[in-house]
Amino acid sequence: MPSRTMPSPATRASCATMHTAMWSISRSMCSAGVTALLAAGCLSTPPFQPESGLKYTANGPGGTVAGPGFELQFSRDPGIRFPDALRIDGTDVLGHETMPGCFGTDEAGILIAPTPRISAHGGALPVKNQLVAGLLGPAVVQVVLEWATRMACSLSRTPSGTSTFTVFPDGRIVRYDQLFDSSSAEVSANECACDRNADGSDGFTVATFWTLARQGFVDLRPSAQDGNLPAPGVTASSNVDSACLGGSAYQVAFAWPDPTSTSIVGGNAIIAFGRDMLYRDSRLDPYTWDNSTAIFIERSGCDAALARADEHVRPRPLMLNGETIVPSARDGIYGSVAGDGEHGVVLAANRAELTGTTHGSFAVWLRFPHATDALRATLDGKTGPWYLPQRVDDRAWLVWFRDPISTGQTIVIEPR
Amino acid sequence: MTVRALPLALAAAIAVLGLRAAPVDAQPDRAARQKAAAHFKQGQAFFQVGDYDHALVEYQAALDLSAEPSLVFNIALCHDRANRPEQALDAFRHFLELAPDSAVADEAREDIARLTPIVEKIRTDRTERAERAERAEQARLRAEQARRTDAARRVEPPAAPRPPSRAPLYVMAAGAAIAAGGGVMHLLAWRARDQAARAPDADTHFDRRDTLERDRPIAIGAYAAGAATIAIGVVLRYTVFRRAEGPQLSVTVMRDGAGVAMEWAR
Repeated sequence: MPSRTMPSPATRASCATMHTAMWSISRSMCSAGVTALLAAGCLSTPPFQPESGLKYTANGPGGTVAGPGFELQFSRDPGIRFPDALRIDGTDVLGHETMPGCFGTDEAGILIAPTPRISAHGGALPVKNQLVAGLLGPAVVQVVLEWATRMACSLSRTPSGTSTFTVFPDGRIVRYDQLFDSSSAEVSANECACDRNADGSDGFTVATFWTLARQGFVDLRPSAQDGNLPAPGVTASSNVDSACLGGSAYQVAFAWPDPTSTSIVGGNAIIAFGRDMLYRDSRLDPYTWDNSTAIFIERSGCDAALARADEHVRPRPLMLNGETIVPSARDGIYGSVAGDGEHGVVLAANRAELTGTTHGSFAVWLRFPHATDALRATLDGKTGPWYLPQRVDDRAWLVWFRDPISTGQTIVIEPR
Repeated sequence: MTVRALPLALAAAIAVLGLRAAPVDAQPDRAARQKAAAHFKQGQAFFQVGDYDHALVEYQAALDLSAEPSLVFNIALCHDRANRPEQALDAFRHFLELAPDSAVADEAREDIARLTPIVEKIRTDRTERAERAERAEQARLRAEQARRTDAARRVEPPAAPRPPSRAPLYVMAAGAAIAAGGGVMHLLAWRARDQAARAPDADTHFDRRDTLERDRPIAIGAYAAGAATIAIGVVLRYTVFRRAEGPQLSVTVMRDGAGVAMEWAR
């Protein structure tokens, strides 16, 4: 059994003094620690968030991508979380039909007509409905919507898909849709029609679409009606790879790398821009479809907008350290899809030299051999916010260049 | 003197044994005279063998019993033979006072005459010695006093209470200065952070971020160093420079390690 002995008075006094001294030291050190923490908290490294860049803000289950002069809003309502607003200078230009049919085009989304529209405020029953922001700006924001629904006419048919929205600071929005339905259960358009007034005689139509509000736009190019906006129910154009809806303050162009079955159709309050993957087919066999569409917000006329759209349809290759790179149809980023399945052009050294010619802005996805904390791009004569770097992970960086690159120019990208 | 002493002693003995000596104060009784005679006889025996001190004791005992003045003479002789001239002189003089007409009175006078200069010389010498001793003692006392005075002069006056040392205050002031330097760096870093957050382009952002990441650890380090220095100053203020006991440093070296401890005793 251990014995306890009383400390001598001297020892107790020493302990008391030690206690006092230690208490003083502890208090001072705690103060120093708190001060240091406050200092550290106040002096945390800020993210690079220039006004010329993009910013993603989650809003409940939805979210918003804000760029210079525009804003793309993903719905937080109970429907499939496709965009339900596209604001340019504060004005929502996304189409909102006054009395949309249950399988008619409205806002933005997917049609598996005559089943309920798959959109923010469509009638499709969400089975899966998840919005994931993978890239958060300032150069690129990428939001992936994973959705699935179940047909009321056949519970074994559960169409699903992913829609990837990639937004750039210059108002380019690249949308890439993938649709899946592996079920071979036979379904009848008549039985699947969400509108009992419709007879389903038109069969099934599967399409992806954007709609814009008629208000605020005055002309359409190309158009069968001499540039006028198409009347409700009228198809203005089909099988075009680009189009521009012009307004006085801004213009919006569309681009389809694959122009097959594209269409521009007028509505009461909207103009619909879509592409049909299946058109009026009596059968809805198992399918896997994908489609790429791009929107360009422009302020200097439809010519400029269409030029940008044309470059999206027919991208020009660039040379990166002597290797040819092209933009991905999935997101419009040069080097986005690498051979190993990951993103980014794999660099052998911490230096990338970019040459070639583009008509407008562009983005490059790079993967450095070593962890890189800060990046610098240089081009003779260029200063200011002519490029925006964005760190993806320790090694991967996205760089968006505001201005086109011309023949003879070389952009050097390297760690700082 | 020895030749003279025996008849005197015999005379005294005859006086005592014959019981005819005149009493000084009163006649002793017979038994007392017999005892006195015995003491006298014993005294004579000691005297004859030269044991004057014991002889003196016996004579004094006989004198006390018989009051015979001749015994005073014998006592004087004993002192004289024992080389105690002062006592001998006094005894002879006392004898003459008691029996100025005694048969040995002249003898006593001769002894007095002989002893007087001796005693005077003795006393003079004694006086001189006493005076010398007195002077020596006084000199010793003066020397002692002087030594004490000198020693007292050498002793420092009691130290006034030492004012608290200012060193801890200097340490704390240094800590405050360091912390203030940290504050300046904090402001610079804060400004760099603000500029980095508001940077319109990447180059400006990264430049300002580099400045921030350079200044931030300096600011935090200065805060910590300043606080630690102030803490040290506080400890010094309340321990080392305030107490008489200084810090004690203990070092223990063991086989598998060592320990260092520092403590202040209050």
